[in-house]
Amino acid sequence: MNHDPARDLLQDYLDAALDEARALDVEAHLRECPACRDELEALRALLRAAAALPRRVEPPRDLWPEIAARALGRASGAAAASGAGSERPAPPASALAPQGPRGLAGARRGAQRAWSKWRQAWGEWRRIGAEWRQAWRGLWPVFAGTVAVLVILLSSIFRQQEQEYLMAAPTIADLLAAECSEPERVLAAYEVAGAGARSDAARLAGESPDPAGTDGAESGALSSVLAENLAIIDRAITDARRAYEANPDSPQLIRLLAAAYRARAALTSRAAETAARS
Amino acid sequence: MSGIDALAAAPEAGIGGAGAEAEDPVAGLVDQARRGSEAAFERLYRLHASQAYGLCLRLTGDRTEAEALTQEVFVRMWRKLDTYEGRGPLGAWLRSLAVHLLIDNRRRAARGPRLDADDGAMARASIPPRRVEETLDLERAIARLPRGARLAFVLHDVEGYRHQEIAEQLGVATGTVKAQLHRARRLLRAALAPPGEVSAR
Repeated sequence: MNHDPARDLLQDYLDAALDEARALDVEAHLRECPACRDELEALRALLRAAAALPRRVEPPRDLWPEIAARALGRASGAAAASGAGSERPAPPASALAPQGPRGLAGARRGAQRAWSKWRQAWGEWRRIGAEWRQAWRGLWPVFAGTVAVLVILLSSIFRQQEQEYLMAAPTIADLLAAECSEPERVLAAYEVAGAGARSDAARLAGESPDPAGTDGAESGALSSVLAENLAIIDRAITDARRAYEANPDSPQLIRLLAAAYRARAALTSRAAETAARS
Repeated sequence: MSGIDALAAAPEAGIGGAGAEAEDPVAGLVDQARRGSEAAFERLYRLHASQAYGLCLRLTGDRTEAEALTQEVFVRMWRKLDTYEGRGPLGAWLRSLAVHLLIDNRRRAARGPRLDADDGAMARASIPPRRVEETLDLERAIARLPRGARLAFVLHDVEGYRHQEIAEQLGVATGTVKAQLHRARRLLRAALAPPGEVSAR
C-alpha cells in the first residue's frame, strides 16, 4: 500500500474499523514508513490524552439558585436562602405516591410537565417525519410501482365485481316480472305502443297538415328527421329483439331491448308534443 | 428515543461514572425527587454538577454557554424525571439530555449543529500551531474545534461513545460522524504538534 492511502486509513486502523485484509496492508506499510509510524503514535497519544481528560470540572459558580428558580418556580434570591433543601409540600403530579392537595406551584409544574411531554411527542413526530421523508427519497420508485400494481389489481377486481353486480342486479326483465309475471307480454305492449306512436309519427311526417299555417317546409324537414330517427331505432329494436329471442336468458339483451323501446317511446312522444305545439 | 436508550446503555463513562458506592443513594434520591423532594433534587445536582458542567464545557467550548447548558440540563432533569426509567446510570441520562439540549438550542438559534456542514468554522479552526503550542493545552484546542468536529471528538474520544450511538444522538449518518471525528483529530494533531512539525493534513 502506498503512503497516502495508508495514511488516510490510519484513523480507521486505530479505531479497529478496517477489515482484516486492509488492516494487514496498513501494518505492512507501517513497517516500512517511519512517517506513518510517527503519525500513528501521535494519534495514539492524542487519544490517550483525550481519554485521560478530567471528567469533572467544577462550575466556576454555584448554579443551583438559578436552577431552583427555574425548576421550582422560586425567586432566585429566596432560593439561595432556602437552598438547604426544604421538602416540597406537594409531590409532582405523576408521582406514584398518594396525591395530596396540590398548590399553585404543583399545578404549574404539572402543566409544565404536560407541556414538555407534548413538546417531546411533537419533536418525536417531527423526527419520524424527517426519517420518513429521507426514506421516501430512496423508496418512492418502489412505492410508485407498488401503487401501480395495486391499482391494476384493484381495478380488475372492481371490474369483476361490477360484472357480478350487473349480473346480480335486477334487470328490466326482473322488474317487469315483478309487475307482471310475463315479461313477454310487456314487451309486446311496448311493441304495440311503439307501433301506434310510429304511425302517429309517420302521419306527422307524411301529411303535415300544418293547421296553424306555419312554415310547411320547416315542419316537413322536422318530420323527415323524425322518421329517419324512428327508422334507426326500429332497426335497433329488430336487431335487439332477434338477439334476445336467440338468447332469452341474457339480462343485458333484455335491457338493451327495453332501452330501445323506451327511446322510441320518448322520441314519438316528443314528436307528438312538437306537433301539438305547431 | 433510541438515542437516549443508546446512551443510557452506553458503558459507564464520564459523568455516567457516579461510582459504585453512589449508585444506591442516587437511585434513592431519584425516587425521592420524583415524589417531589426538592432537597433530593438539590442533592442530585450537587452530586452531578461537576460532571455535567465538565461535559457541557467541552461540548460548547464556552464557559458562559456551558453554565447555561448545565442549568438547562438540571431543569430538564427535574421536569422529566418521570421518563427516566433508571435503566442506565443517571449520569448517562444527564449526558444525553445535555447533547439533546445543545442540539435543540443550536437549532433554535438557527445555527444548527450542522455536523455535516462546512460552515466556515473549518477556516477559523485551523488553529495556528505555534500559538497553540505555546499557550493552549488539549482542552483549549478542543474548545477551538469547529462545532461538528468538537461534538464528534468529545463524544467519541473523550466520552467513549461509538460512532453509531453518536450518529443516532445527533441525527446524522455514521459516515458523517466518522468524517468529523477524523477531521477533529487532524486539527488537534496540527494544533498540538511541536513547532517544527507541520502537519499537512
